[in-house]
Amino acid sequence: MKASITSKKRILLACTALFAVMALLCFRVGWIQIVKGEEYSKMALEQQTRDVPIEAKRGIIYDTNHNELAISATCYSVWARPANIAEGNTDQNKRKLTKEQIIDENAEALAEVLKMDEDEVKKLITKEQALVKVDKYLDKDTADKVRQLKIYGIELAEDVRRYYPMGAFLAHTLGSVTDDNTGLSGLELQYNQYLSGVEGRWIKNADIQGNDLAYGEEKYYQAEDGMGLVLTIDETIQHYVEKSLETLQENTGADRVMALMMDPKTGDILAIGQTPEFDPNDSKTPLDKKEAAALEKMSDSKKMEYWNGMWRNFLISDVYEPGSTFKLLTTAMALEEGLATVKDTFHCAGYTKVADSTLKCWRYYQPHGTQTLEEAVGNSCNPVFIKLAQKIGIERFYDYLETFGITDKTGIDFPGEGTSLLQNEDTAGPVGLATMGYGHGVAVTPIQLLTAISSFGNEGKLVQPRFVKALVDEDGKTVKEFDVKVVRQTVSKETAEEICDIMEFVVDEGGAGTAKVPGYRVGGKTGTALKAEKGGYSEKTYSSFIGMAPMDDPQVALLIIVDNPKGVTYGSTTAAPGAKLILQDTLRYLDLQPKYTEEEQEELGDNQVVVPDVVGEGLDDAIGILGGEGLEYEASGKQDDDFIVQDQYPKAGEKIDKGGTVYLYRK
Amino acid sequence: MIAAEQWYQHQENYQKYGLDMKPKTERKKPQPQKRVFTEKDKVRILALILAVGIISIGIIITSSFAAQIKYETNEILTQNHMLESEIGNLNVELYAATSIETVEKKATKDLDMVYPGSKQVVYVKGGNVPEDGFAQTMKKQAYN
Repeated sequence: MKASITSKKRILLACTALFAVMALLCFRVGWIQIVKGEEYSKMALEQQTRDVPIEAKRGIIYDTNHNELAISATCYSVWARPANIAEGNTDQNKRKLTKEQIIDENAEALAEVLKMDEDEVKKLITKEQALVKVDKYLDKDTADKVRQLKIYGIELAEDVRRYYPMGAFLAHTLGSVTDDNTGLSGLELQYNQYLSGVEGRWIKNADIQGNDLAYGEEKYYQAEDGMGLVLTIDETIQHYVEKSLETLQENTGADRVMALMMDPKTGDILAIGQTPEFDPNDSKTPLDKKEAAALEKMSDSKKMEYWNGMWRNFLISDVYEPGSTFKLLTTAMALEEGLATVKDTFHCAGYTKVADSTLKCWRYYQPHGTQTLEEAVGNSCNPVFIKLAQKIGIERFYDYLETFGITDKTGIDFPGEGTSLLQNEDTAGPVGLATMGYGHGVAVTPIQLLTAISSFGNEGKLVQPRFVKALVDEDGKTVKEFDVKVVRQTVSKETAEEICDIMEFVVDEGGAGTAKVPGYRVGGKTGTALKAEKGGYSEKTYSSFIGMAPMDDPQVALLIIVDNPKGVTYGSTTAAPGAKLILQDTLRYLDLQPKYTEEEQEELGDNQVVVPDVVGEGLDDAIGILGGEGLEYEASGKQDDDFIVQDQYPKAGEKIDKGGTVYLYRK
Repeated sequence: MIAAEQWYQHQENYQKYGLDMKPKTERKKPQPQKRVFTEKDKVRILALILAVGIISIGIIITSSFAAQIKYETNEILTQNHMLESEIGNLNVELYAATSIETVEKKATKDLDMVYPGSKQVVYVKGGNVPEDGFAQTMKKQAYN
């Protein structure tokens, strides 16, 4: 009995204790679930809810034929957690390496994969920071190699990078983006709102590893990818222009060479280029190694100044004195006002007195004498244009400048467009008017000048220049098209046609003969103007050529500017030959068949020889045979005694120009 | 007085104090009936436990299946994303390799190709089919 009572008491005690604990637990559960329930639910929600931004894909930039000029693709960045790196991974800990040894080993391995300096990598991974960026813009292969190193504390993050697959191509126009893919300059900046799209969101419940919870809530807001731009630029024509600029730069030794080509009827910019170029994939490094080395040594402010100069699009943003190319506008004004006709005669004595000043003709040492207006344009005779400007009068002159769009920006879709520098109408005076008549004392942007001249090729209609003609979606379907904008009528159709005839005369018989392309009607005007510097004029020049082709129905208008050519500085010897190079390729590309005049046919015939047959001959013999006909050769492959000509181009029997090249191929 | 009369007089004495003295009848406490568990009951209980067990296990299996599917989906999405990225990068390489400058370099430097002279270009229009055919016409024009 006693034992039973004791047992019962113990059981009772145990039960009481158990119930007390259970009661406490129930109380605790109740406290958590009911009292603190809302607070903990809120905390759990905050912890588990991930608001992941879905980056929108930046739109592609295409040329007029939908060739990709700028595209975004995935890349990787390497991040380091210095605290974790020093701890080392399992293998390093097994080998009982010290902290220093671990850091050295990791730095060496990383430096080898990333192709960076080992000391630089070591400096980064030992920084006193929680997170350090070691390198960026890595491709997948390099990222995989970093991953394989299995360095504790090294993480890879995915990034998006803007690529320009053509490299140093249309660099000054396409522009560039910042590290977070926002437009920084050029068309990337101008159309950033269309290109960047709208970011999406993925709101989900995830565990500590970031994996979605099976029963968690999820909301997905699709990102709207950016729209693509279809430019008016033609990749092929742009290539011809850039190739010609390289040749021109080499031939003239100029500081810079620039070209701008436009469709006079629509305002479409077909090509635009300037030297020196840069690669937008690495926009801070000049292509020239010497320049790159010099840049390294500059201070930050000097570097900034250099980069701005390198990136600046001169043809849109900067002004220059056009010189004699401006005479076309003065001529048009005089013709339109009926103040002169093409056949009117003028006299050049080598100089003209205006107020207290004596203004000389460029050929003051051998004056032009009596000449028609057409001949005066061809001769680029200053006194004639002084006379025309005086007849037009300052008020009408400025009105026409406004009509031709010289006083305002063109409105081209490009950031940082410059505007002209003109003398004040009220204070210009007779000397100011006279000098403006032949293109001095006035500074215009190249795009302004070309737009104005293009109106002559479009029956007097001035069109707004443009880079972008349409917006497309990610599938290439057109979302929006931009219309051609006709701004105003500058001169009548008849005056425009007369100016076109004059331009053609200048190339055929005047001072711009070096721009002539056999088989095509090319019109234009050359110009040479001193560069304004430090409040005055320097000895340096801007030599230029402005023209259109074919003159019966102009398809292209072209402006070439050579900045400070060395040696002979005239536009006819520097810029005009560049125009010929560009036009002969471009006109053929545009499917415009050459129509040779009788004279041209004869000239070609006289200058041509029949290619002899050298197939089967040894190289020495072949060279001798070709030399006998006044032909050059170029042999492919190794030129040794075993060289037997297997094939030749042009084929035997074909006619080529005297001094032309025959290509010899061996087996 | 008889007993009943005594009781009511007794009650009246207490009523003035607000006490209502009703005769209390003794409640008979119900005798708890001992439940007898039959074999059938035991089977039912067992079946219930089994059913609950099966359902619970079913819920666990379904949850783990859902979690597995979710994991596989995440993996596929990640792989898809990686493949898309790789396609993007390959496209960049493709565009660079087929750019006009690259093609020209390969053609002129590696394959010794040359640009034709202006007289060596034959213009062919889609609508006009020559009598001799294009090949003959081109041959005549190209080789003078």
